[in-house]
Amino acid sequence: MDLVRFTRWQRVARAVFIVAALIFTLLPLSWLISIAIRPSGTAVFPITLLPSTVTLDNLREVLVGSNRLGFTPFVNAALYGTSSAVITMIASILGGYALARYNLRAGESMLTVILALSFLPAVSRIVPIFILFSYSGLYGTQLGVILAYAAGATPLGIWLMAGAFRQIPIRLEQAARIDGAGVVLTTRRIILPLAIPGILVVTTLAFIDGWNAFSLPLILLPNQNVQPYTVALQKYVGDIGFGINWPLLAAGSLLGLIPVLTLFALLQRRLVRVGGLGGAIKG
Amino acid sequence: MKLEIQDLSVDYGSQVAAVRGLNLAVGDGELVVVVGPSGCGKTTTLGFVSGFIKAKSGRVLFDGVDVTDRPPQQRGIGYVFQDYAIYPHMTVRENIRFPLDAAKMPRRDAEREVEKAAELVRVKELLARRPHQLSGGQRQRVALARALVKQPTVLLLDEPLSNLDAHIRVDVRAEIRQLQLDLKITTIFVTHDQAEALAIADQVAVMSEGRIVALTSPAVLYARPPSLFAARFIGSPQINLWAAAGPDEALARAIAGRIAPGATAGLLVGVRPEHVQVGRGRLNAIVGLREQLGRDYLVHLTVGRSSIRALVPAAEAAPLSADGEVAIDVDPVHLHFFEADTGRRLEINAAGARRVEPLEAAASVSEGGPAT
Repeated sequence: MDLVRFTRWQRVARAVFIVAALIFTLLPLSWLISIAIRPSGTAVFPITLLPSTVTLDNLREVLVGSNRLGFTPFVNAALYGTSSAVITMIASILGGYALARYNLRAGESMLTVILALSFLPAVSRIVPIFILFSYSGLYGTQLGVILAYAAGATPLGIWLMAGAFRQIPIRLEQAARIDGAGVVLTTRRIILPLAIPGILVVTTLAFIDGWNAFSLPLILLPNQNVQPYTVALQKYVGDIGFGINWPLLAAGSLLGLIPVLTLFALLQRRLVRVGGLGGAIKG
Repeated sequence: MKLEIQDLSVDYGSQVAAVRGLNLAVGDGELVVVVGPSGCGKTTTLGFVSGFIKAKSGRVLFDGVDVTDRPPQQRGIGYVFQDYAIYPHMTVRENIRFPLDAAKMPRRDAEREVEKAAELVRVKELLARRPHQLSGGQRQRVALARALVKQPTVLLLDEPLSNLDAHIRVDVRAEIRQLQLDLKITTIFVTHDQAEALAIADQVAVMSEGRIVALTSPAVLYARPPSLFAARFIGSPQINLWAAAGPDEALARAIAGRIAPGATAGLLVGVRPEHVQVGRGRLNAIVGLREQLGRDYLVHLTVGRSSIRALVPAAEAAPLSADGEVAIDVDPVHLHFFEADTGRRLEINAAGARRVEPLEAAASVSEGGPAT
């Protein structure tokens, strides 16, 4: 039963609002798909949601055609996303646990600063990172972008993990100690299993951040072979000429969207649950 | 295993209640109940014994060996937390086996020990369940099995019954006591419930504001409370107490005059409600409210401006009518005397000689038992 009872007009308003929100979010996506599956070179204006001819040629062209973007940019993006997600996960678990459990002198203010940092746009970090990397020899390297991504995703990760760890009753850790478990066993058997929902969220967000990153690799990776699909796609569309070939650009974008959508579909339930982690550790 | 706490002091500052100069010895196989109001330091004391709380000063000795600096995981303690602290992501079997896994016991042996422990606390049919599928009482049993499975050096129970429904609390407390007697395991049981303390303890330590204010057997504690606080805290309905000087002076003198003729300021006179004799005696009291407590009635009486609580069997309470008069008296053997400033018990003999009682009364002094 609903906690709140709506009048008929409120229910109508709610339905209208939901439909509007769905149109707002799904229309661009539908249009992207619609463009991606019409023949290359077809005019995209005036807007028609349903193409007259349906073809998968664009996807094929982008991946394996004569004017291909190829698999490499996607593999690169996956490599950077995954690597930075792993680094972010480890750093967030360590930092989050420290902030959640140790009585740090400036713990609370540190958490606030960390949260504020996570709101900074990637662009704001580009110049300092560029200078730093130029001096340290990380400029143009894959390790460099991975570290840059991880540095961007870790603040929010730490903040989320601190919250997740705080949801785990400290009693359980004490009980584990009493039961004879040292730090390692307590962490492995008690803390980490209970923090899995939080860990999944942090890792997923970090991966998506890395997968979608554009401005950082655009500046930091001049070498085409190591560019992720986001950067490569922009150049690709320019290279193949004839103005902008919208269907090919849409096909490339769609390929970039698929892993993200798949991840969300797989983790949807767990991601939603982190809002109220309580349900995950009942008892 | 003999357990000793020596000179324990824990400061405010930390988030736990303070303890001041506490000494407590628990004999091998003995069950000591530490009882007191919330914030008196009883859980802090358990925290010190288990190794979670660092003290300003003090030592813990297991069989004479100082374990103060050992971390919790190396003390071999069994601990049942108030909220049980069962691992929510493990089955009952995994929960009970966890201490054995931590000790790296081979899986086969561990499983056998788990079955034994589960049988002991009657949760064998629940081994495959998850904690959220258990009732409060069942969780409590699982926590107990987990504490017992590794055959702990000492068993610490922190208000293990307070989250249970009232009707099963009495059963579970009897089971815990029986189990403790059977296993002969040295145990500290913390509670704020004085009835629970009297029911199961070999020795009761009454705590107030970080100090032990009485340490003796339940029988002595009830019959001859060694301190004012213990007298007030133990026993329900509460003991009657009147200051020998002040508004209750007349009543205190009338009741205790024969035995303490020089009853002066600084002295408190106490009588347990069941020892107020109603229906005959030298004093006239006005009957006030009557509360039925089950077998007995709690009758509120007044003499002059002083009030008296009397516990009266139903048959004798029936003729009492509100605002009516009734004769009352107290047999001098049932009188308790306390120093108002120190809270110490005083023994006053027929000649009027006074003697301050030690807080740790020898358990053998009187076995009169409660509610005689």
